[in-house]
Amino acid sequence: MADFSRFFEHALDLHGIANVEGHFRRINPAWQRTLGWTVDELTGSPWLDFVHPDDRKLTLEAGSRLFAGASIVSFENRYRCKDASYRWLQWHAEAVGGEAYCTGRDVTQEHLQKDARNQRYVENMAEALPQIVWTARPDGELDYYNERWFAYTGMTIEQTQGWGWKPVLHADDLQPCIDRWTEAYQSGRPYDIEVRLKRACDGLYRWHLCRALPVRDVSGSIVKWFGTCTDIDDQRRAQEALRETQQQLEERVSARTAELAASNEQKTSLLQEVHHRVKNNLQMISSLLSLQARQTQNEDACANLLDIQGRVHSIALLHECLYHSDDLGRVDMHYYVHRLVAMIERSYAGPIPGAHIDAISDRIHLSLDTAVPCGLIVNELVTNALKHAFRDANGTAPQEIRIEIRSVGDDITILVADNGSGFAGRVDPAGDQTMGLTLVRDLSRQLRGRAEFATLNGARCTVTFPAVRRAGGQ
Amino acid sequence: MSAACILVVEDEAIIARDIQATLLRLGYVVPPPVACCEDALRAVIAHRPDLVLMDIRIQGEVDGIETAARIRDAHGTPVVYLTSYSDATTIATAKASGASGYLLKPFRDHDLRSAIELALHNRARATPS
Repeated sequence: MADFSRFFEHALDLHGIANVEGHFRRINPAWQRTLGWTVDELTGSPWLDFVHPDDRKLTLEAGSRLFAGASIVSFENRYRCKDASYRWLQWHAEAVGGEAYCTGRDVTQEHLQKDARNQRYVENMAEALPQIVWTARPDGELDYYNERWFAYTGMTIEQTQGWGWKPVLHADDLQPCIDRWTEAYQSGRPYDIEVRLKRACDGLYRWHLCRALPVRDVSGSIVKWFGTCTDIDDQRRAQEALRETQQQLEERVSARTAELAASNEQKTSLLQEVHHRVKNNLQMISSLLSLQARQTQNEDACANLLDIQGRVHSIALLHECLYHSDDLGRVDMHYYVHRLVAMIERSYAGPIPGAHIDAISDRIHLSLDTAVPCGLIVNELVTNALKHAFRDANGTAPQEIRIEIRSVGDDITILVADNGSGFAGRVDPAGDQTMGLTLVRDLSRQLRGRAEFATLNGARCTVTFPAVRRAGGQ
Repeated sequence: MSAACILVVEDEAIIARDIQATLLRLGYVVPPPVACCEDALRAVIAHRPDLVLMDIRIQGEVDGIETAARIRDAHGTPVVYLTSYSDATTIATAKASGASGYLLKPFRDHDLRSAIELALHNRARATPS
């Protein structure tokens, strides 16, 4: 046993037997050589008092595992020396019979080497990065910059240690930057800010995006801050230029839109004014006709004047319909033909009370120069039917007039049919008995179409013409 | 009951004469048509018409809608508008001014007759005395 205790006395590693209450009962002299405390000092206090505060939690956990029966292998923590420095110790331990047999080895040198290697690695990487790179201690003091920083700021490492970087910042950005950095290193939250840094070579301030993240040890404590400053000046200028351009563009677009809207409104009101004048003039013509009709003693002449008045009104109605269409250039025939029928019915309400007029039209939109002949054709045929078809009627059968305007292939057809006495005696293809039917033929020709008259359960006239008028055709 | 008196305010002489002739034939009393606001206000005082037929565009600075409002405010005479304006804005303005009727140009005798009869009928109902 005495032989073995010699190993204990002379061992380079730290050996100790600890009890479950947290004291070392027995330790070897290596402890004093390593840490500087006497054996009595070390055994007189709980061992936890010597452990670095940041390592205590993990050390206690390892102790619990040990006394629960687990072996501890290569556990590392820091012990405080008598000179207040710390040394890294690596532990192997086992618990036997309520006591822990612990062996510790001083690995401080390895840690320093590892830290130095890490620092070299960081610095090598930092030099390779296109940004300014810096590190800071947990207390917020900057302790390292890469070469790019010195090249940009023209400062020396001595000048920019700690808080020495302040003169590099634009005056307006300094206080926000200090506040933001203080908040970050005190709270441990990531640091992120955009500031202007003065470039030594030309004295210009360029925008930089500065960011830093904390580096933590196994216990979660911050050991370092790793930061970068990225030059985003070109980007910011480009963004600002883009924003400016966009704004100018938007202003120009809205100005032009307003101009166009105004000009459009002007044109619309001008066009409405034109229609208004046309209708007013047509009213004047209509008034002239009715004044003349009242002066005329001859009944036929009077009726002719009123027929002309009807034609004038069928044209005037087209202008009224144009006025109400979304497109001031085209007439909705469906809308027009119903208004026309209503107008004719009102003017003939007296003489032919019984006739029922039924109008159907496809949704056809015609330009004014096509719509005018169409309107006149319908007006002629319907008034013709009202005047002649039921003259000999005995009043028993319901009197009906049917109007259909259809789009068939490339053609448009207008059909006006009644169940009266037919065209016999009304139509004389060679002669020119009725002005109305002559007008229908002429207008059909004007539309590059044809008019067909037939008697089939009454009079039936069909006008067919091409929907699109070709220039130059006969 | 004597025949109703109708004043025509219309600056187109031919149209005014036609309306006058039509109304006379229908049995109404029709004073000579007038063409501007001032004449219209004078004629209303002179003839005390039962109804005014008012073109919206008349001679002078004041238009038909404003003239109608002045007549209604001063004498309570109902007004039927007579115009070739059929755009939504004009019709809305005319309606808001409390028109008794609205007749679109070009109109024919029977359109005129029914608009007047309707307006006179409504007036009779509104004032039972």
